[in-house]
Parts: sequence; C-alpha cells; structure tokens
Amino acid sequence: MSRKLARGMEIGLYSLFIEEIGALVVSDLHLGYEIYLGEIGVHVPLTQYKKIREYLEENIEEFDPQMLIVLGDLKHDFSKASWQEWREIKDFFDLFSGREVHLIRGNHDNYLKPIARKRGIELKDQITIGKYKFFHGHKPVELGKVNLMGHEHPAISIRDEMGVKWKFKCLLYGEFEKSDLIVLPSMSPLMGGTEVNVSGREDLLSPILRERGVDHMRVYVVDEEAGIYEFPRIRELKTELLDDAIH
Amino acid sequence: MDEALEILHPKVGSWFSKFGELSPPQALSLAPISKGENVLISSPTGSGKTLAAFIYVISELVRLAENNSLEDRVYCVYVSPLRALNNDIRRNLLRPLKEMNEDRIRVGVRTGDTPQSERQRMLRKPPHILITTPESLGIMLSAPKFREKLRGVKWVIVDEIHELCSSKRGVHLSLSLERLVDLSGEFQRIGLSATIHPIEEVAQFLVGLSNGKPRDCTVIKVDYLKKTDIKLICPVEDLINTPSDLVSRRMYETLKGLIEEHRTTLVFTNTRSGTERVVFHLGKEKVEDLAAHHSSLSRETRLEVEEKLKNGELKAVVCSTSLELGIDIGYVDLVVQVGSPKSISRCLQRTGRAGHRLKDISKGRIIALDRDDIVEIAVMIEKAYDGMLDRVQIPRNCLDVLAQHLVGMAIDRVWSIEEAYSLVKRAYPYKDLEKEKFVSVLKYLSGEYDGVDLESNRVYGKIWFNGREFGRRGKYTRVIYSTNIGTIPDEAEVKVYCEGRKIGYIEEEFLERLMPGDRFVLGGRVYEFRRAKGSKAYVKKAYSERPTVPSWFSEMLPLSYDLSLEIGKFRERMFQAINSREDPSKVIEEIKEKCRTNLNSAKSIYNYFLEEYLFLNSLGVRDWPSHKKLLIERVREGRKLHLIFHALFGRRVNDALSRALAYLFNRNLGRTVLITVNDNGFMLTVPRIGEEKIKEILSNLNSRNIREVLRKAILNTEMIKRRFRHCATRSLMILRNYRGREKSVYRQQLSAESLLKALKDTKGFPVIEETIREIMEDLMDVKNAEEVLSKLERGEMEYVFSPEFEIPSPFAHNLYLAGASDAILMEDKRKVLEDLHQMVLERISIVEKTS
Repeated sequence: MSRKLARGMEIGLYSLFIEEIGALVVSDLHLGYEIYLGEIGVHVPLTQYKKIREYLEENIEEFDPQMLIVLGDLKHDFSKASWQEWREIKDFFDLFSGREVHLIRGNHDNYLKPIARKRGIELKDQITIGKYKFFHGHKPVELGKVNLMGHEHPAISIRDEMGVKWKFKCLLYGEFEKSDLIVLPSMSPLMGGTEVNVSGREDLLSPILRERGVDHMRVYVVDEEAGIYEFPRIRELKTELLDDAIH
Repeated sequence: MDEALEILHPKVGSWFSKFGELSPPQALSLAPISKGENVLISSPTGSGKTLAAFIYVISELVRLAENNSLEDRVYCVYVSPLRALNNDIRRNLLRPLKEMNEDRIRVGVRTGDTPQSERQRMLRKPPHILITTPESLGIMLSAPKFREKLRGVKWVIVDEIHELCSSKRGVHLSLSLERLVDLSGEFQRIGLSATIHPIEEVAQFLVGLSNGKPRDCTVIKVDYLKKTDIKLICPVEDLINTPSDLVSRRMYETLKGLIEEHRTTLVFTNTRSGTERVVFHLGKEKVEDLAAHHSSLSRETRLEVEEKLKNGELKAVVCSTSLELGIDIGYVDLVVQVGSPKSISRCLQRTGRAGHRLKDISKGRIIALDRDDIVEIAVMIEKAYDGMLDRVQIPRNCLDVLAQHLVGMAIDRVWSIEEAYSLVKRAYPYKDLEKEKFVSVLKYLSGEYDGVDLESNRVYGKIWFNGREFGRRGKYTRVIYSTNIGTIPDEAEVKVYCEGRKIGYIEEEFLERLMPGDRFVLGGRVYEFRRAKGSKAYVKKAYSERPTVPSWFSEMLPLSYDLSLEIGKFRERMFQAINSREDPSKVIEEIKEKCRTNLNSAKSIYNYFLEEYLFLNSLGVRDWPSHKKLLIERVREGRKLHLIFHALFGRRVNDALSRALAYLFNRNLGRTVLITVNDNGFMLTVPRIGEEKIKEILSNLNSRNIREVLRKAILNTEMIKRRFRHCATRSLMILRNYRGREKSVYRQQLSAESLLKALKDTKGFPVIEETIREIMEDLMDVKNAEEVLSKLERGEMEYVFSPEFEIPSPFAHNLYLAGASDAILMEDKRKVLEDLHQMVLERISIVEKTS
C-alpha cells in the first residue's frame, strides 16, 4: 500500500518512504503499551506487536529501505525491565538487522538507551540527513527545509450522512515559513489520536503545531483496511463548515 | 398464646405474643422453618416477613445461650441488596432482644462502610447474626481469618430476592452461597420476596442444586394483595392535541394539587434526570418541604431525606427508583408515578409504599405524559387488577461474575477443575454451564489468551492453571479480588452544562463520539454539543428539534413483553370498535371503567386510536397494527427511507429484532443503517428502496438464524463499547482499584473502542463472549424475539405494508421524533472511506459555489 506524497516521497502503511536517502520513516509505535496498561490495572492480552510487525513487514517488502528512522516513542513507559518485556523491542531490532537504524528520542522512551546501545544505536533528539530534518515534536525545534515529526498522532473525524462518526488516522503535510512539515500517524493500533479537524488549536499536543496552527495542512488518511486517501486541507474538514454545507 | 408460637423458646414466644396475632406470612412460615426446610416467603411489603425469617433463628440462639452452648461464630447470615437497609434491620433485631433481656446474642453489620476497627472487633467477637450485602459476603469468603468464623453457618436469609434474582448481583450471590456451602456445609435458606412471577423459579434460584437436582424448597405465598386504589390521571383534557410544554405545565399543577391534598406524598419518576426536573418545577410552584432522593446524591443527603421522611417532616419526596425497596419510610398516604412504571410488578411495588400498615389501602395515581404512555398505563392498570404479573428473567451463565468467583476460590485453596465445576453448577444460574465455557474463563484468568507463549503469562495471570488444577498466583491477587469485586458498573459519567447550569450526565463513551455542532437528546430535550473539558461537557439549546446523533446511551426501563402483547390486544379491540362504528361514548365509558381512568384519559385514548384509524384509512390501508398484524410504515425523507415497524413486543424484543434486521439491511445495501427503538416499535433508516427489496431482506431473518445474525450485528453496533467496558471491569480485566491508583486512570489512556478492536479476533475470549451474551439475553430479549419470528412463520402474525408517504402516522410520531438510538456500521472500511471522501468533496464544492 503506498501513494506518492511529493517529489521523492511516498506514503506507506503508517509510514513515509524517502527515496533520495532510501529511508523508511515511522513514528510512535509505543511497544509494550499493554505492559504499561497492566501496571495501571488494565490487564489485556498482548495483541499490539503482532499487528505492528505485519505493518513493518509490509513496508520492508514494499520499499526495501536502506535505513529506518523512528521519530520517537518506539516504546511506551514501563518500568519493569525483564527479558520478556523487552522481547518485542529486540524482535523489532532483529527485523531491521542489516539496515541502518536511527532512533529519535520521544517523551516515552525511558530505559531505551542501554538496549539501543547494545545494538550500536545512539538515541538522538534530532538528526538531519541532507535537506531532511527528523525530530519527535514534543519540544520546540528550529525547522529545517523538509521536517518530519510524530508525537501528535493525527487523526480526522467525519460524520457520514446517517450521523455516524468515523475516525481515521492520517498523515499531515504542510508548508511553514518556507519549510515543509510532515506529521506522521502513530503506528500503534491501540492509540486513538488527536482529531485535528475537531480539536481547537490549544488542544494540539505538539508545541510546534500549536504555535503554527494546522488548518492549512493537507490530510492523507492512512488505514490498513481502507487504504490511503488524499483529503482536502484541515480547515475544509472543520465540522461546522461541512454541516453548513448540508443545511 | 398463638399455638404456632409454642415452637419457639418460651422467652421469645411470650415476647412475640404481646403483639397479638402473627401476620399471615409469620404464621405460615414458622413450622417449615422450624423443621429446617428451605423456605421462600412471598408477600407484600409491610407484612412482617423479615421478622418471620428471624423469629425462629432468634429462638434457637436463645436456646443455645440458655444451654451455655452459644459459640463465638456466625450462625446466621442475612443478605440484603440494600446497604441502607442493614442498619434498620440491626435496630429491628436489637430491640426485641433488649426487650427479652437477652444480651448474649450479638448482631453485627459488615459492609463496605464498616471501619477497620469494627472488623477487627468482629474477628475477636464475631456476631451470631451477621447482616451484610452480596458484595461483602463475596469478600468475606476469601478473607483469610474471618472466613473461619463462617464455618458452621446454620441459616442464610436472603432479603429482597425479587430485586436480586434478575440482576448480576443476584447471580454473584448465588455463587457466594455455594462457596459458603463448600466452607460451611449445607445450611438452611430462607428467602424473602415481594410478589413475583414465576415464584417456583425464584425458589430454585434461592436454593440451587445438589447432585444435579434442585434442593427442596417450601414456597409460602401470601397471595392476598394489599388493597390498592390505582387510578390513571391525564393532566389535560386532550392529550393528543395539546402542545407538550402545556402538558408538562398542567402536569406540575396536577402534581402540586395532589401533594397539597395529602399529608405525605411519594413521587416516582423513572430516571434521575426526571427526578431533578420534577423537583425543580415543583420548587418553582412553591411546594415546600420537598426533597429529592436518587442514587447519585451523596449517602449523607439520602440518609437525611430518609430520616426526615420517617419523621413526617416532609410534604413530598421525589425519587427515581431508589425508594422502591424496603427502607422504612414511615407514613406515606399517596404514591404518584410520573409516566408509566413499565411493569405491573413495579407499579404495585411502588403503590404499596403508600399506607403504612397492611390493612391500609395503598393509594396510587399514575400521571400519563404522552399518548403512548396513556395507552400503556391504561392497559397496565386493567391487567394489574386482573391479577397479571410480569415474568422475571434470571441471567444465566454470566462469565464475568464467574471470573470474579474463580479468582476468589483460587485465593482460598487449590481446586481441581472437576471439583470447582461441580460447585459452580450447583448455583441455579449456572446449572447448564458448558464445561468448555468454564475452562475458557480459567484460561483467561491464567493469562493463556495472552498468546505468545507460557512465559509471557507470568505477568498478568491472576491464577495458575495447568489444565487439571488451578490456584492463586502472585501476591496482588488477594488485594485485586477484595478491592474490585462487585457487579454494579461504575458509570463513567460526564457532567453536562448548559448556560452555566448542570443539566444532566452523559456517558464517556458517548462523549467520545460527539463532535461540536452535534445535536443529541438529554432528558427529553435536544441540545447542541459545543466542547468538552475534562469530565465536563458544554452544550447549548438546539435550534432544531431533530437530533443528529444516535443517543445510544439512554437505556430506559423497558416495557415487559407480556404486557406489550396485552397492548396489542387492546389495540385490536379498539380498532374493531371504531371499525364497526360502535357508539364512541360507550367505548369511552368502557375504557374509563376497565382501566380506571378519568374522563380526559379515556377520551384521549379513544381519539388517539380514531386518528390512527382515519390516517391509515386515508392511505388505503384496511388493516391496523395489533398483536396479529405487524404494520410496516414507509416514510420517505430526501434520499432516506424510514421503515417504521409497529412491533408491540416491548423494547427488549424490539432491540433484538431491530438490530438483526438492520444488520441484514446493512449487508444487503452496503450502507450504515440507523435504528430507533421504543416499547411500541422500531424504526430503521435506510436508503430509498422498494417494497420487493424490503420483503426480500425481511425474509432472510427467521427464528432459527436470529441468534447468529444478532451476534454479528452486535459486533458492529455503537452500543457494544459501553457494555464491553462493564464486562471487562466485572471480569477483572480492567481494574477499578489497583495499587492505590485512581479509578479513572485507564480511561484517559485507552478507549473501549480500540481495546475491543484489538480483542475482537481472539476466538472464544470470555470477556467478549460475555458482552455479547449480556446484550443478547439480558439487555435484549432474544428468546421472545425468536418467539415473534416463529409466530410470523406459523402465520399467527403477518407483516402489513403501508404505501410510501411523507408523513408518519399518529402512532409513529414518538418513534419518528425520538432520534436514532443505535447504528449498524458498515463493515467494509474501504467503502466507508470512499463514500466519506466523495461526500466531503461534494460539500466543499457547495461551499465554494455559495461563497
């Protein structure tokens, strides 16, 4: 599943592929989220990684990337560090063995440093490769030419003609101050996401987006079952506007 | 002295004879209780049945005390669903003991409110009579020290069994009792119930089974009704053509008048928001000494209201359902019910709260609020005086309640599967539990569904299970059990504010679905959603009457299937009378007499039927909706078609039929189908299609496949999310209390929706299975839905179609205006997204053209 975004960039299944540098970019996997839930008293079977692994495999097959860049929050906060709980993360690294891996530090990536170092991977706040700048998005950053971030878990909600609300994850693409900004969706199936066409500007999670607003960004819905669809800009998806059109 | 009293210890007998004669339930139950038989006493409130249960127990305890053989352990456990009642009961027992000069017998209350110091004291000096709730009994059974004091219990008294047996609380209790048998050996069971039907089944629920056969039980049914005087009141002359705000203004005036004419009035509404509304308006009408009583008020406030009521300090109390049960409320001379109470039993139970003593006449008035209401109440009163009762339904094979008990059992000791399975099957609600289901719960609790491999189970399993035996795992299991037990769902409530005033609550799952600009119904009014912050939602009054969002959160009291069928027959009778041109004044007189209505009500009922008759006639329909004809009205609106089914089966059956049919329409047409349901029918909103297509789809549902279709339908509804959260909490998958964390922490982290999505594909997962079972069997009534379908198949009932038209018939107005209550969602997400994409582009082009 893929779709061209701009020159040299293709949207994949909850991912972005940058041809020029052969990089597969993903974000907000929140591995081990069930373990964190267990710690707060929600005891659910481990279902998330099975899905994520499928997504990753599909992306590898589709793009055969030279490198992988994770835009932060590879894992979720959990404190217990037994072998079992790290298994998903190890398997994740194994899946990409033989390819270059870059990890951006997110706001949930505690305890990740030692295990990454064992694989010879440094955890960084931001990296720049050519004209592309990569960061998580939870802290203000000076923008580069083409910027890629995560953190926000963007999604849109639209009501159908029967009045039922549907929510889809999406990738956002827009221009700010002569630089391009791309916000990736979360790859975690357990994460809902910010409804960017419903929330007010002050409800956005990322200070970078809050500061600049997202109304003129383009929306690309990404859904494992439904596929990838280009929608208009967020300001055209504001519910009041759509409702007025019917009345 | 009454001969029956000779069975008792003289000290007790002579105390009792001071009160003159025994009440009928007391006189009839003493002999069987003294013989050690299990007994179920069914009699009206105020007939002295609590004392009937205790009198022999007290006598035996006095005997033991006299012989110096009274030991320091619990002899009698009294369980009541009402925590509030427990202190009353204790007082009512201490008084006679004191008057008998008997201070050796201890009576203790142990509930969630009992302080730690008191619990410690109970451990040293256990009460001989222990008063508790179903939840606390469940906890005690696994309390390491206190459970020892329960060995050798001789009597268990279950009060308000009519209330318990139809809920998961009762199911929970039924397993606790079998666990108590395991701990303590067989004991004598005494059940106390208000009038209930069928009593034999309730008796079986009380006593359970032994070696696969029901234990013996003597049923004592004191079948005289407390004398009642129930009447239907219509607040306006013509309910059909009076605007609704005038109806409600007149209603409050009528209510005020009734309150002023009586000393103390108890007013029942069916919902909490209804209670608040009535209190608000009566306050505006300057009714003084008025109070509200409902479950979301603080405990202190409720106790204060109860106390004032008992002391006769209040003129009127308005409550939802909270004062239906046996709390002593002192002198009430009138009970008013605002709107239909929805079941004959509830109607009688509430009315019975008026008139303190058994001999007093209970005076009840029911005020009708709209046209369907008035017909329903009229038929209800007629049938109540005919002696009809609604059937109670006991939930079966609840896997979530079972999960709680299996954790509790594992805390006590190691069990073999066989041993535990046979214990569980002794409880009536589990007598037919399949072994496979039983084992699936053990697997779930041990973490086997966590998949991956055995090692990953270690983290979350609350029990260990090796395929043959199971037991406790981990130090937290005991704490998890004792702090999370219970079956009453913890509602995730969001307060709703309009212009600075709190107007009610909505469920958090409902809020999740709301977007600014959406219109929804709350407490009978339409509001527009603005925004939400934390656990508060802000709305404004809507400019349009039609809601845009299904209000699937409102679960109103359903009308029973049996009574609905009676309404169907009543319809037939009325339409026949109109059709054969009977003298209207005679028909009105007949309604007035049989249904005990005032003239206004009888006229309103007649006119309502006449309007429907004339409307159908004008469309050329020569049939009318009744218990024999299922009329389907077709109302077109733009690109949509509303199919209105005049299905007189009550909401629970209609819930099942509507979801199953909606699913078939959805599959056939590839579109989301909206569902609106009430007690008198349901409405499906679909794209415009012709009669042939409708008939084709209808023919795909039958009595043999409805369960299968419904199962698939439920998985695609909005409603399942909320029920799933309840079941997940009861199954201890979502813990309300865990390591001192706040109850609501998980809610900020995870939506029920994504959790459900992640677990849907895990085959046989008990939490999902139970959610579906609960929706199909407890919330809906799939069994009677099957019955309706077989009637259609046998030709005892038939579909009748009205021609397509723009306006719904009078009988359909309530449904048409209600706003959808649920939706069957499209399964094909690709198609959903394609359609949405198309829709968005179209709307944008409209915006661009107009600007």
